[in-house]
Amino acid sequence: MVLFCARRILWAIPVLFLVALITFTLMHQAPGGPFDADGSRKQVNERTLRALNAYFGLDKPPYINTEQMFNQWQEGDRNPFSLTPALIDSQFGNYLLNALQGDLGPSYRQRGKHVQDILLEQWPYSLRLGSIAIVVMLVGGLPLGVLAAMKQNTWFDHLSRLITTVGIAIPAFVLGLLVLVIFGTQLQWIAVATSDWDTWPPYLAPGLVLGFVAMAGVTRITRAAVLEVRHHDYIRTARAKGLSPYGVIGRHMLRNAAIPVITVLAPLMIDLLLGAIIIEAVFGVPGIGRFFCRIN
Amino acid sequence: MAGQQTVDFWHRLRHNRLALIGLIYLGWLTVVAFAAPLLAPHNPVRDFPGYCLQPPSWLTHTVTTAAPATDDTPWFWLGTDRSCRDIFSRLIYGSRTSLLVGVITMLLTAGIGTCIGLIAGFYGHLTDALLMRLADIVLAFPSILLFIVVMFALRDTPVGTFMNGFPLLFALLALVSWVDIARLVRSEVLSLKERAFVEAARALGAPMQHILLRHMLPQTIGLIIVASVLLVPSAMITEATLAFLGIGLRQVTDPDALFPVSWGTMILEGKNSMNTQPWLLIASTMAIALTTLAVTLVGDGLRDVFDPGHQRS
Repeated sequence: MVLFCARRILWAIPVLFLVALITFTLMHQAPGGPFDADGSRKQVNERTLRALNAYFGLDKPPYINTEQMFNQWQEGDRNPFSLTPALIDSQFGNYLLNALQGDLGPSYRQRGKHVQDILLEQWPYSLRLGSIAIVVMLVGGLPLGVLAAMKQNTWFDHLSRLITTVGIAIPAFVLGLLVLVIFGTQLQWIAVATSDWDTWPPYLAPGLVLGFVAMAGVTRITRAAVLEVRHHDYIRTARAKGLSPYGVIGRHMLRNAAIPVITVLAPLMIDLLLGAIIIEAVFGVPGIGRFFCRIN
Repeated sequence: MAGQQTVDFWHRLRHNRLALIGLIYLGWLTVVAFAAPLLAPHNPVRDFPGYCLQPPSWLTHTVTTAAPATDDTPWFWLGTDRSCRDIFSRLIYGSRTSLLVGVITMLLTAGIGTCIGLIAGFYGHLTDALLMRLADIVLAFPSILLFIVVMFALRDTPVGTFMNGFPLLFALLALVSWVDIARLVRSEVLSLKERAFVEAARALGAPMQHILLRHMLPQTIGLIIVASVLLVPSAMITEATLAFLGIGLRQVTDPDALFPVSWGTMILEGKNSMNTQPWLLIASTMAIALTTLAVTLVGDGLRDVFDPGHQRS
């Protein structure tokens, strides 16, 4: 078990490295740089540009600094512990080293702020949204799944199946926009443009949408898990012992059915707490998600 | 045998009412997509100066704008958008983009996933280990992040502008979604390998390709179909999401373009004119929602047909 956990955690290292490398490479390929001439703003001259690039370390080579290592080698340096730092004194290398120490680098958009400061500032908003969604998901999904399984093939089961299919099939942002246009601009039950994100009410609509979509998946898995254990021998034994129906359900069925459900719940909850990119953009929640893409 | 299976298949599918409704809807949508030039009252990229942000014509009866209401006043079923284009026609043409993305991604992903799964399962050892580690990496990589970053970076390069970005989008979608099918096929091949009929074929001296393609592939084809149909909605959603974020397929101004509009783009435009023109947002979100719902219903129905033990018990 410990070995398994350790292996899974170690597996995250190459994945994170690849994510960083691919993102870095792609952003490097993208046309345009942070200090490019922009007609709408004040122009910077050649010298300022060079100074800015040097200040932010953008004058260094992108991946490996062979030139610097070669120079040190020429000067007679043969110590690998000073040659390696020279080699990785590059844009990507420095980014990784700083990131490992918790510094994600300066923001180009908000001057004077570092990326991690901005993320930490905005994360509480994502956290609020995520916690509402989790409550909706658990309070709605678990009972619905258990009931649907207990009442298999009745109208209740069919109804819950329809609801979960809708939740699974329709993307959250489409559902969110439908809610926004119907209950927001048309019926005016919810405020469309709100700036007061330090109170709870504006989170209700996005939280419900996000929670509903997550709930659909949870209902489906819970139903399947309960159905799976329902026909096992130990359930029959428990019933034959004379245990009350609720005792059988609570003590024997649900505990065993919980295993696959929990397996799915854990990553789902982490996902929700870390910010829903598109739902945040749709409802204008000032969380982390909107930094992926700034839209209005 | 095959004939009997087909009959059986239709019989079971017909009794799944929801799947049937989904199938009929998709069939109708396909007809709409192909017959778009006949059905659409206007060209989807043509603008009508002076008729911007019109409400649906049947609501107002007479068009109330600066332009005089004469007999040749254009009729807009769902009104017009901010750029003075007919929403109804754009909606009709949008079905083409969504269906194309769904179908091509499905075929591409099913092809790649099946090949990799067959190879990994059949050859085993190092090939299998390498391919499955690759699958792990793809699975661990956050796909929405990849889409956003790649589209943002490559959208304005020759790779992204080629054919309006369709090939780039297909490649990206296939890149992230082949894993599920490959794993499915691989595990199926692993268990089939031990079965008597494969052993018999091998004992008779059948070559590898023959065993793979003639004995194993037919056994897994049901699973492959179900898994690839269930990939379609996510492909459609991804396309719409990217368009909504403003980094999807490129905007088209050519009036003769085959795929001029994406529903996702309409959603983005609808969000921006939500207060003045709610019809645009309602129409485009409903179009996406109904289509993904229909495909999911069909996929679920197919799963019940091919894999009756699943979930229903």
